[in-house]
Amino acid sequence: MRKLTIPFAVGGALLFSTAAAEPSSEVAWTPDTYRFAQSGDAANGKKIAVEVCDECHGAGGVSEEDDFPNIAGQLETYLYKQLVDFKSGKRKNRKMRRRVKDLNEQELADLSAWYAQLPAEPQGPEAPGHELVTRGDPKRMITSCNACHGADAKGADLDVPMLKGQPADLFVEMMENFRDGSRANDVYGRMRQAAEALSDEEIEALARYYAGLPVQ
Amino acid sequence: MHINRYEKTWIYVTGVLTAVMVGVLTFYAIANNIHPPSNVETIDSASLHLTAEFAEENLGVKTNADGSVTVTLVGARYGFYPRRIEVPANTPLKFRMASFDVLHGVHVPGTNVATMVVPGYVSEVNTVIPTPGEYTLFCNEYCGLGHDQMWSRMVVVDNGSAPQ
Ligand code: HEC
Ligand code: HEC
Ligand SMILES: [Cu+2]
Repeated sequence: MRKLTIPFAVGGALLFSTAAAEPSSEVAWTPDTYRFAQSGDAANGKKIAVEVCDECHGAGGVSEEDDFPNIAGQLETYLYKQLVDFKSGKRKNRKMRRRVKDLNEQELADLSAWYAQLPAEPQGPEAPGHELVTRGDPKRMITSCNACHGADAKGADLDVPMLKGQPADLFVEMMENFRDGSRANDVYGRMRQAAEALSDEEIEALARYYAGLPVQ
Repeated sequence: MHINRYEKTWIYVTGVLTAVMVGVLTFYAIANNIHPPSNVETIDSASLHLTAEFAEENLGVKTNADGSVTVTLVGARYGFYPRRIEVPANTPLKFRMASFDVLHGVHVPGTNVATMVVPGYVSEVNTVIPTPGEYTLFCNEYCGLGHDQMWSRMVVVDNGSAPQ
C-alpha cells in the first residue's frame, strides 16, 4: 500500500503544480486577436443575444435586476476576453459557462460587437430622470423639478423642500402619495400637478437620481 | 446756424421713424383694445389659499347666471393654477387673478389679455375670445429661476357661436 501511495502523492503534487502554473487567461492580445476581437458582426451577435443572453442581461444589455452586470456599451475587447474566459473556464461562472460553451470564437466576437455598440446605462447628464430634473416635459406640462426645488435640489423659498439624500424607497413613496393625492398639503397642487403626470419608471429614475446626488 | 445737409436728412429720417412706430403702437392698442387694467382691489397674497375666492377648490372656470364666464386664477411659482382651463369662444370672460408669492405677469398671445399680477392686488381683465383653439398663458414678469417655465394652457372651445 505504502509503495503505491508515494507515487500517487507525487503525481498529485505534480498535477497540482501544473494547474497552479496555468495561465490566468488563454487570451493573448496579439495583433491578430486584437483585430479579430474587433471584427465581430453585430447583426449576427444580436440574433444570438436575443436567443440566449437577453433572458438575464436584458434586451439592451442593461438588466432590470441587480443580479446581472450591465454589459451594454462595454469595451468590445474586454467583452470578447470575458466570453472566451467563461468558455474556457478561466473565469468561473456556471450560468455563463453554460451559455457560451457551445459558441465558437466568431460568435463570441459577434456578441462582443453587438453589446459594445449599445448605449451604456447612462450616468450623469444622460441618466434617466436628469431631463425631468433640469428641463421637465412641456408636452405633459411637467415643470422641471429644479425650477421649484432649486438648481442643486437644495430647496427654495419658502416651502419647497430640499430633495437630496432621501432614501430611494421613501422618495418613491412620497412621489406616489402626491400622485394619488393621499398627500395634498402642497398649496395649489404645485407638487401634485408635477407628480400626476409621472410614470412609475420615471419616479423610480428620479428616486435613483436624487439618492445619488451628493449631500453637501 | 448751419446744419450739414446729411445731418439734416438723418434728423428727418429719425423723426419719421419715431412717428411711424408711435403710430403702429397706437393703432394696435386701439385696434386690439389693449388698455391698462382698471381694477384696484387689494388682497393678502400670503394667505391667498385661505380666502374663499382663491381657495384651491374655487379656482377655475365658472359660468354666471347671465351666461358670462368668470375665470379665477392664481399665479404661483411656477404656473398659473389651474394649469389647464377651458373657456367658451365668443363669450364675455372675466379673468380674476392674484399672486401667491411674487410679481408675475400674464400674457396670452393671440388675445388682448396682458396684465401684471402684483402681490397684494387682484388683477381683473375682461375680454371675449372669438377664435377657438389652444392658447398659452405666459408669465412675462421675471419671477425666479423657473420663470421661463411658467406657463399654463387655455383651451377656447367652439360652442357653435363662432360667426360663420
Ligand atoms: C442565466 C443568466 C445569464 C445568461 C443567459 C447570460 N449571462 Fe452573462 N452573466 C450572468 C451572470 C450572473 C454574470 C456575472 C458573473 C460573475 O459575477 O462572475 C454574467 C456576466 C457576463 C459578462 C461579464 C461582464 C463583466 O462586466 O465582467 C459578460 C460579458 C456576459 N455575461 C455576457 C453574456 C452573453 C454574451 C450572454 C449570451 C451568450 C450571456 N452573458 C448570457 C448571467 C447570464
Ligand atoms: C411648481 C413647483 C414644483 C415642481 C415643478 C416640483 N415640485 Fe416637488 N414640491 C413642491 C412643493 C411646494 C413641495 C412641498 C409641498 C408642501 O408644502 O408640503 C414639494 C415637495 C416635494 C417632495 C416631498 C419632499 C419631502 O421631504 O417631503 C418631493 C419628494 C418632491 N417635491 C419631488 C419633486 C420632483 C421629483 C419634481 C420633478 C418631477 C418636483 N418635485 C417638481 C413644488 C414643486
Ligand atoms: Cu412668474
